[in-house]
Amino acid sequence: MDIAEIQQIFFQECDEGLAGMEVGFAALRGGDKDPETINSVFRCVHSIKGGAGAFGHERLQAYTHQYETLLDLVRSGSLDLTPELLDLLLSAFDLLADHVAASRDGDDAPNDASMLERLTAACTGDAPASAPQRAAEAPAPSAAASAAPVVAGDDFDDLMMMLDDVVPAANEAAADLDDVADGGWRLEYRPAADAFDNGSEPLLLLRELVRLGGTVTHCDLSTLPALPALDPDQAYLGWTLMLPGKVQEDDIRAVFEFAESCFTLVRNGGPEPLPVADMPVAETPVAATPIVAAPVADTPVAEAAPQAPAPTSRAVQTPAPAPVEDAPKAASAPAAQTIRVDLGKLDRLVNLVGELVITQAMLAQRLLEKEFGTVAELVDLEHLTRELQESTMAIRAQPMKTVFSRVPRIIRELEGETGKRVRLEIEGEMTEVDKTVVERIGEPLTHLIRNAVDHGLEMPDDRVAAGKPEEGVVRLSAAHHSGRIVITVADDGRGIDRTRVLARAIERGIVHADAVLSDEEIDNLIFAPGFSTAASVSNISGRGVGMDVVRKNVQALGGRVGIQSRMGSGSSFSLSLPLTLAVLDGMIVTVGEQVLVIPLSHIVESLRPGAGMIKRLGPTGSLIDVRGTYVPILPVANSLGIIQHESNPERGVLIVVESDQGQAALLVDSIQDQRQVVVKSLDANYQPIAGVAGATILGNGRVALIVDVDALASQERVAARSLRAAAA
Amino acid sequence: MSIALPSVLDTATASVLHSTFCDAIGRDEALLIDGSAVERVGQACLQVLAAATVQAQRSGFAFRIDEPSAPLAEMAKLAGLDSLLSA
Repeated sequence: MDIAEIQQIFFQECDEGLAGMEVGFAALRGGDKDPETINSVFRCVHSIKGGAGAFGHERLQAYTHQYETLLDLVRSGSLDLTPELLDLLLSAFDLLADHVAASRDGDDAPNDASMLERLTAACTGDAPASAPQRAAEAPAPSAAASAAPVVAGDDFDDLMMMLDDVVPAANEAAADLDDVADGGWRLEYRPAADAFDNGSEPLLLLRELVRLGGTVTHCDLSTLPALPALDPDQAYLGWTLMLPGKVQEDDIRAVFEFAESCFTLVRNGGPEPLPVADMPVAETPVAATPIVAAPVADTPVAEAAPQAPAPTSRAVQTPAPAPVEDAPKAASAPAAQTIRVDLGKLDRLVNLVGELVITQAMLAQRLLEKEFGTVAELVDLEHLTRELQESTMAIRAQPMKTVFSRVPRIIRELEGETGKRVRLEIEGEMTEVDKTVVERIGEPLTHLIRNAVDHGLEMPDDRVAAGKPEEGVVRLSAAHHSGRIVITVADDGRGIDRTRVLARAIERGIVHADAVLSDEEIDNLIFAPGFSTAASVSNISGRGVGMDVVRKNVQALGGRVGIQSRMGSGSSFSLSLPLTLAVLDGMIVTVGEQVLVIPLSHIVESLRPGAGMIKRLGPTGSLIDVRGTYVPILPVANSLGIIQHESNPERGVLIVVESDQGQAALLVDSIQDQRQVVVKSLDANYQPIAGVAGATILGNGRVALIVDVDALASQERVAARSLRAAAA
Repeated sequence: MSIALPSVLDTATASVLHSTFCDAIGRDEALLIDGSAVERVGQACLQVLAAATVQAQRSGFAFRIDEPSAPLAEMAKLAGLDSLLSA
């Protein structure tokens, strides 16, 4: 693994840390008084600072240093966490996210001068006398230090500043030795030989372990070569530590976030720890010297602990980074074991499983033709294949939390920009959905949130006048429903003013002045391209390009947007999305000799038109009367260049679909089936084709094209509009 | 022979410290180390000090760190090497 890959992991862990901080701040805002909450926020910043130093992101490191200093004063009780201070910490958190993003993307660091001043002022202005002294002492590298890498200077300052904490902590730890002996932790820490690279200092990790309550019981010099053979740039020392059982395993592992392969952790009373990987065999006579024999004072348990029998508990060699947020915290609970896997490998697995599903379907069809379709093994194979496919898809699933965790910041910014007061309620953040959906739902969701605050919620005075609480509520939820994920953004604002919406739509020429529309149809007008009810264009929303993009993005994910609104009570936007994009539910239809797949997410209904339902207009155009609404008929064959097809709608089948351009009826020859198909990219395997979203392989081995409903409808848009106008 | 340790004993200083001790121990005479000025010390220099201590003992001449500063004493203790200072 090279440094770039390690750095990539660092930024992933930054994101996880920021998400963790967001959760912590949300709890603090909600009145959480648990000291562990502010501790966890502190640890996140501390980890980011450590990584920033290791990878040379000096601005990020300097910023986190000041931020951490303030957080340290809060967690130590030197500063009270007043609402004003919490607001400052939240603003600083937002800037921290910007700093991380800038470091990751190689952009210029954000301007943090003002925030650093505020953080410093908060440290010195409100803190007890002793606190600012500590903060003021921190920077002041000596001439020698200034020549060293920034990380070394800074962390050494940090180290010296915190030394006072270390010794008392060590003494406290000594008092916990009974706990250590029975159910405590035994930790073998041996920094890698190249541990000093990038300015890293292994003693800092040792210090953190001592601060957690650890006691160094043994320093291993067995690999230390004789002085002439010693390479000063290599690390040779190793340590054995004991930690009380009350220390959380996650906290211990967090110390080794960027040095994962250099420690072994085992619960006392468990088996002997496994040997540390790559540890050189001790050969030198140095081990016999008094230095080696000298354990740290006051540690009689040190020798006894490793001999403790009882092979009942687990020994875990090298940790797995554990981003699983809801893992049980109790030390006795099983550890959440996770590994990071390259996405390319995962996609290859998903692809192979897709091939397997197709091959299984082909095999089933072949056997069916030979009248072996009911063989028990074939049924078993089908079940196993489906299960394998679902399990593979589940690997790509991620909790919606990764998207939802960005929302509090958006809300805070909107509060600042609009002067409105907003309470955010989040439900179902652990609901899992495919990674691609998680990645692509962020933008539409952001717009819906902005829309809810900007257009939905009223100003505080207006709310009070309407008999509502001053603070508006935006509720964000995610839940699985009928094999799909439904994400809802709801507000308790004024609701959609349908009279105003209709008037604006008529003014913009989106609907005719004499059009009679249902409430649902009026609500859906806000998704029309170019629609905006904002009296003036704001930088939040109101550009009139947002809601149509929301619908387009959601539809591109195979989803739908639904609206529920009541005047005066609020609105609710529901996004219904597939759990994965690798498979889709489709209707299998034939057009001429071609078999096509129409995504079910677009289909409203299918029908065989009766006499009189078809209105022919012009030489080729036709419309179907669907319960009083004229829907343009799109002969799919014409759009895709298929010959020898059914061109008479009355003898074919019409599939009414919802598209960007409104409803359309796709004319096909017949419906064959409805099933889940594995999506293959045409872009990757052939080339993009207008009107075709992808392809799949059917059980008989034939390739079936998946229709891009929006693209087909778009091709026919101009003609369809003119026809509809003529029919009306 | 007497050697005064610099105030900063970080990783960058370790190679200089290593050369200094290699030269000094090559002279086969007692070494008195003045550690009073040390303000910072990291693992790289601590392990050089440890190796030098062992080398001196094996060679049979005295090696003593006099007046260790508080930071040096604290870090040696943290690393479980406080015996260095009493050697």
